[in-house]
Parts: sequence; structure tokens; C-alpha cells
Amino acid sequence: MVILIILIPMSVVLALLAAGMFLYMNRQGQFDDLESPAFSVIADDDSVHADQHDPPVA
Amino acid sequence: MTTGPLLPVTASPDPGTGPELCFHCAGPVPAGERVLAHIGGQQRPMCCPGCAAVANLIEATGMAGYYRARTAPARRQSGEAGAGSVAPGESAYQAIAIDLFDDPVLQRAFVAAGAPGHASEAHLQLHHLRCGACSWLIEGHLRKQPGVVAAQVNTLAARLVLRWDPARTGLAGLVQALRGIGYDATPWQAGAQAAVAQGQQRRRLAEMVVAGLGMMQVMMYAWPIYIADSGDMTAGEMRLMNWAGLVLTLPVMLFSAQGIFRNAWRGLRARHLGMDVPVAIGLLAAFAGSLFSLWQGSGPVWFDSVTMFVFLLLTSRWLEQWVRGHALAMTGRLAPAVPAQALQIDPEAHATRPVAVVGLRTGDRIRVPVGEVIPVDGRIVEGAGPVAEALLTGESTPNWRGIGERVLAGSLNLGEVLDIEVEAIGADSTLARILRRMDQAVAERAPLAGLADAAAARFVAALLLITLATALWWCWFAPARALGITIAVLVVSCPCALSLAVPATLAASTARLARRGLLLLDGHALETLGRSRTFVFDKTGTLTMGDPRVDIDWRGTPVERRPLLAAIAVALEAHQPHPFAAAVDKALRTAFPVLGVQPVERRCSVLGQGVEAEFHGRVWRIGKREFVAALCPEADGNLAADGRTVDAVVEDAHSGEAWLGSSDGLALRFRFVDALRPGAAELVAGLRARGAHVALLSGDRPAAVAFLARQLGIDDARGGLSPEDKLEGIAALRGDGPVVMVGDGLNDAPGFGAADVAVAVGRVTQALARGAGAIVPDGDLASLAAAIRESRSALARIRQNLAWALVYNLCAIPLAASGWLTPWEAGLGMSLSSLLVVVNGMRPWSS
Repeated sequence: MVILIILIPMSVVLALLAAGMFLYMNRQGQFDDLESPAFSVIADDDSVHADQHDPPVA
Repeated sequence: MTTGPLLPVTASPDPGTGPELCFHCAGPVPAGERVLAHIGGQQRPMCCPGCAAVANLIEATGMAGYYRARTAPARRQSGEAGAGSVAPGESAYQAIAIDLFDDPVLQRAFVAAGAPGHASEAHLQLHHLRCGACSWLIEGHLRKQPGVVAAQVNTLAARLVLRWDPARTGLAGLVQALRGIGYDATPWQAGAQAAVAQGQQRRRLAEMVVAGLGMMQVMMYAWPIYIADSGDMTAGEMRLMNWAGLVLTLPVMLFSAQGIFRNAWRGLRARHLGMDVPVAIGLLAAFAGSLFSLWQGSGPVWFDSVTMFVFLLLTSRWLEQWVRGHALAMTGRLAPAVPAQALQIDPEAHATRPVAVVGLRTGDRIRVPVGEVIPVDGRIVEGAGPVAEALLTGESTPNWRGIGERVLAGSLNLGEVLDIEVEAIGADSTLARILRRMDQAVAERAPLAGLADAAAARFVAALLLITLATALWWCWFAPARALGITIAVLVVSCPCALSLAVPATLAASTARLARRGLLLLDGHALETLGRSRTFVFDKTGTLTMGDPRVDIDWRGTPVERRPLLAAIAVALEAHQPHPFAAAVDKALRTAFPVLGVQPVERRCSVLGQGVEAEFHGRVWRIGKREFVAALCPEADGNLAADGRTVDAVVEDAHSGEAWLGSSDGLALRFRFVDALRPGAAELVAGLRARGAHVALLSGDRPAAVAFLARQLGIDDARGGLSPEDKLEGIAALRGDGPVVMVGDGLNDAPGFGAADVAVAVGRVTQALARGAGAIVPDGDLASLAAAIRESRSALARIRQNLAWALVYNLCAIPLAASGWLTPWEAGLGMSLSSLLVVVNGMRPWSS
């Protein structure tokens, strides 16, 4: 089972990577509000995010 | 929902047969000229041009998906209050003049200005937010405005964090865009505090997730070692696994468990053995023992137990704080005690302009329209009328304030436009002084030790003694095994019943109570509610509704004659600034919706007595009984024969009344009744039945207080108290054990600080919520009764868990101390015990 010598350090690195990624996302505020973003998926109008900086039509 | 048709959220259960409803706000569409809007490819009925304008704008900006995603109808746009104009849980607010949003003085309170060339950030409280789709609509609409960098809405707290480029657009324009789609915003001044709270929330989440990741991966390394038969794995492979476990346990110990160690250290230094002390000892012992084994190359390794325990502990604490965070976020929707805007009078131009209250100076003159909250302490220079000071003094009836008299910030102007000369603003106002007294009382109050904290102190002491005895014993008889067995004792002695189960119990109970309408803001409030034997209530607005209602006594008037009498009363009372004139008018108009104001002649009002006028050639009077009865001396005899009981006379004195009559005698009686809050009688009766001491401390007139106390059977009732008197009254009652204070106004605020738990009910302002341990925004006192029951049940569950912890440790510690327990069994025992106490803690109560 020599493969363990490679696999176990790899799993350690992967776990640390996952934790680092989570910390980064958390710092960006992605987990602050878990309710409102659900609605941007339900509404099938994606233009909001596509043309954010267009002047208002009204 | 995604492919569903565009349907209005209907108010009537069957839209097919009911009246036609507005597509935007689900209000009834008036007959006559139809207003239509083209939404989603169809003409939709609209109730008013206001709704149509908003709906058209939403459609034109490509946001019509809002109508599909929403779960509640929008706010009605036309001026008069529609059926759904104020949603439950939404508080009234005073709108701010649009230009003022660009005023740097106002902006100081809620805008963080960016460096030149960078975005500014504003924290705003949103109004008329109904569901998550509203947030989506607002975010989408604002992001389309030029110059907006980011717009983020928190639906629960109804808050908006807006970042924009000040070089390209002003904040006023953005708020105007918000108003265009039917919402409104006011400055949210606690934004900076909330940013700190958010930082802490992120930190807790990060600690928990790191512990979770560590736990899962460390378990992977531990598992093969548990199940491997001897010979399956080489010693080198085992050591590799253990080293990998150490690498992943290090972040858990150093980052995730930091808070636990810091709390334990703080507790030790303050000579207070809290719950975190045994946890920290157990964690350190297991970690140090594992390190020792690893260094020696043999012996048990507990990295999996360490990470799992940290993860479970942080999860149950995070859950508790998350549930409470929901409740705290809801307080953001409460109304601020004073508005942010005032109308300043320009002495030269004789005109008013909206300014920020923070920018006012002593000596400035401001105008307060009818129905608005007075923003400053000051002296009236023009106008006179009733001012409701119930929130500040507890008086149920408004006071008449004329030229030269003082008015206080936070009171409500009911009758007439008042011009006020500013005397004190913000921190110098009476309101701020009362709130400072509250904060001071909170700081001075000795905190109650929780059940589990008290048990933890005894637990640590016993554990340390046993560990010491074990270590000495084994050092004497078998020094080689001493270290391993001592560590096993520390690992197996599970402080989980103390540390895990309490937050889990509180989280479950807090969530259950939130569904019943009581929001717990303070972690200790739940435990203390169940243990308290003394309950102090405020009167006006707490046990009563605080909103006098007019009860019309027709005194046998035939039904067909009633509209005429109502018309006469309305005509006489028209434009009268008496506090109750408006209430009478409202009550009559509710009874007779088509009442118009008819002209009267020779009206004259007698100060403090009533009004006299001629209506179609006949003299009528409305006002005090003696004043009206003087029109017909012979009719006064009827009154004595009315057979009114002593109680009724007392009640009249308490509630106030007005009569309408002519020379034919007294025709109508209006009684002003401050009705009991729903659930008040049951709550007080329930508390008394359990033998609790119930006290009524009120700022209202002693007669009114005594009347209510008799009605509810409260023996200890005191009236005419100042906020400071209330504080002293509660401090005196604290001698007999923990005190619960229930109140609604700022006059209760110092008392809130002194009580062990403060419960704010009804139309609570943000300032008061700061001192409260729990709030009941809809004012249903039945929720408070439920909270007391829930609290007792939670205490029972905590006690059961403590008993279990005792039994478990009595069995496990001797086994470990005598060296019978393998590390594997110790870990399993600890996990099962944790699971048991958490499940028991979260179990719903049975009544």
C-alpha cells in the first residue's frame, strides 16, 4: 500500500484547500444572507445581471 | 413557480367570483373608469393610477418576473390607506424629503463616504418590503441606475446596503428610483454596529466550517486504525495517518477552538468556572495526550474526538446564535424613537424646509405637523394642542400643551400644527437621558448565573479532584500507565451535557417562540423567565392597548334616529382640537360611513367643558355631563335613576366620557375605553394561580391604575411613577429573586435595565428594544404566557441533561480511572452521550 504515501498527503492538501476556499468566500460575504439570493434563481429574467450598467429604460 | 402564469396574489379565496382585484396590490378595483397596465403580454386591472405607474415601470425595466416570484401583494399606491397598506410586523415611519438624502449633515449618520474616485456606502432601512421577490426587484432596479456599484438587500431585516459612485449620481436620485417602484427608505443609523455584528457572524461560521472539514477528514484517518486487524497496516502507515490527523487538527485547535480557550481563560482569571473551563481542559488533555503518543510512536490518539467535539459544540452554539440573530434582525424593522428629519422654519422667508434633525441648533424653530413625532425637546412658540406623551410618561390621556410650554422628543403631536423652539437635541434630550439611565442600570445589574454555569463550576472542581487522585494513585502503583489513564479520565468525563445541550435547548425553544410571536433577544432571557417569581407590568400600552377607543352608548335611541344624532355630534365636534374629538369623529364615521359635516351656527366652545352650537335652529351641547345636563335641569333626575353602579362611576372617572344633549335631555354618551390587550387577563390570572407576585407600576393617574388593578386582581399597584421611581421599585423587588418587567414605552426603559428580564410588547421602538431581553411586536400577551411555559419546559430539559451527565460520569469516570476503558470506548461513550442530550434538549414540550 505504497500508494497511501501519496494519497494521504494529497487528501490533507485537498482539505486545507477546501477550507481556504471557504474562508475566502465567507470573507466576500457570500454567506451573509441566505434568503434573498434564492429569488434571483426563481425569476427567469436574467437581464438584470447581464446589463447591470445600462441606463434605466423608464 | 418558474413556469406559472402571472397571477396576482389574491386576497379573496376565490378570485373567480369575488370582486375584481388590482393586479399589483390585490386591492379591490373601484367601479367606473378602468385603469389598465400592460404586464407580461396582457392587460391587467389596476385599482389606481399609482399602482399602474409602478407596474408599468416594473414591466418596462424588464423586472416583471417579480409578479411570478412574490408571495405577498405589493403596497397600495393611492393616497388613502388601503386594506394592506401596513403589513403585519411593519411599523409606521416618517418619510424623508428626497433632497435631504444628499444633505451631508444627514448623511453623516448613515453614509460612509469613499475616498475621491471611490464608491460611497449607505445603510438604509427599507419600507413596504413584503417578501423575497421585493428584495430581488429592488436590487435589480437599483443596479440598473447609472453610478450604482452594488445594491444588497437583507430581506429579513429589510435593510439595504447601497454602494454608488458619488461622481456619477446622488443618493437622492437613487432613493427616488426606489420610490418609483413603490418602496421607500430611511437612514439606518445603526449600520456601523451591524457591520461589527456581521463580522462576528462570519467569524463564527468560518470557525464552525473549519472544524467540520477537519472533523470529517480526521475521522477518515482514524477509522482504518479502529477497524484494522493487527497486521493489516504497518506501523509506518499508522504513523502517517496519525500525522495527517495532526496536521488537520491543528487548524481546529488553533483557529476554531480559539473562542473556547479565550472564554475559559477569561473565566479562570475572573475566578469564575464557566462552561468553557471543563471543555478547554478536556480538549487540551486529549490533544496533549495524542501529541505525546505520536512523539513516543505508540499509544492512543484522540484527534478525531477533539475535532468532533469542537465541531458539535460550535454547531450548537452557532445554531443558537443564528436563531437569535433572526430575532435581532427583526428589531431593525421597529420604528426609531425620533424621526431623522424636521421641518425648519426660515424666519425671513416664513417658509419651512426639511432639514436633518442632527443639524439643528438650540434656538432654531421647527414645525411639527399633526400626527408626527416631535423630534426635539423644545418650547411651543406657536399653536396649542394635545400631545401624547404616553411613551415617555405612561399617561394614558394626551396632555394639552400651549404656547410657552415644554414638549419632549419622542412624544406624538395629535391635534394642531405646532411651532417649536429647539432646546435640546439628540444626546441632550430627555429621551436620551432616560435611555442612558437604562444602559447604566444594565451595566450595574449583577448578572444571574445560569443553571448550567452553576453546575459547570461544581463539575470542574469535582473533575480536577478525581483526576488528581487518579494520577497520584497510578503514579504510586504503576507509574508507566499513569499518564495514559489520567488523560483517559479527562477525555471520558464528558462536559457535553453542560456545553452542548444548553445551546441546543435554547435554540429549539427560541425558534418555537419566534413562531408564536415572541422574539428572544438575550440568551439568558429564556432561562430567567421560567425561574422568576415576580412579574412587574406597566399599564398603558402594556396591559391595555394604549389607544383609547370610543364606545357609543345610544341610551335607547331608536335605530332610525341614530344617524341624525351622529351627524349632530360630528358637526359640533368638527375642527375641535380636543384629544377625544378626533376619536369621537372616527368612531361615528366607522358606524356611519356616509356622514358629512353639516353646518352649525353660533358655535362656542367652553374651555374644559364642551361645545355648544345651534343645529337647525336648536341648541345642542357636547362635552362634560354637568355642562350638557345644564341645558335641561329637569332631565337631570333621569340620570340619577339610571341605576349606575359604583363600579361604573369609578370606571367613568378612569376612562373619561362625553355627552351629547339638547333641551330635551341627554341623548348620547361617549365613553373612552382603553381596552385590555388580548391575553392580558389570562396572563395575570395564570401568574397569580402559580403564586407569582404580580405588580403594576405605572406613570398614569393612581385612580386609573387602581381601577385596572381591581379589574385584573392585582394587589400591588402603584400609579403616578416617574421612570426613576419604576427603576427603584424594581430594584427593591429584586430582593425576592429574579424580576421580569413587561412594558412598552420609554418610561419603562430604566426599569428594563434594572429587571433581570425585560419584555417589550406592542409598538416598540428600536431604542427600547436595545434594553429588552424579549419583544412581542404584535402585542399578544398570550405569546408571553407561552414563553413562560416554554421556559419552564426548557429548564426541565436542562435539569434532565444535567442529571444524565451526573449518571454518565459516575459510571464512566471510575471505569476510566481503573484503566478498564479503551480509548476507543471512551470516544464512543462520549459521542452517544452528546447525541442523547442534544436530542433531549431539542424535544418539543408537551403541555
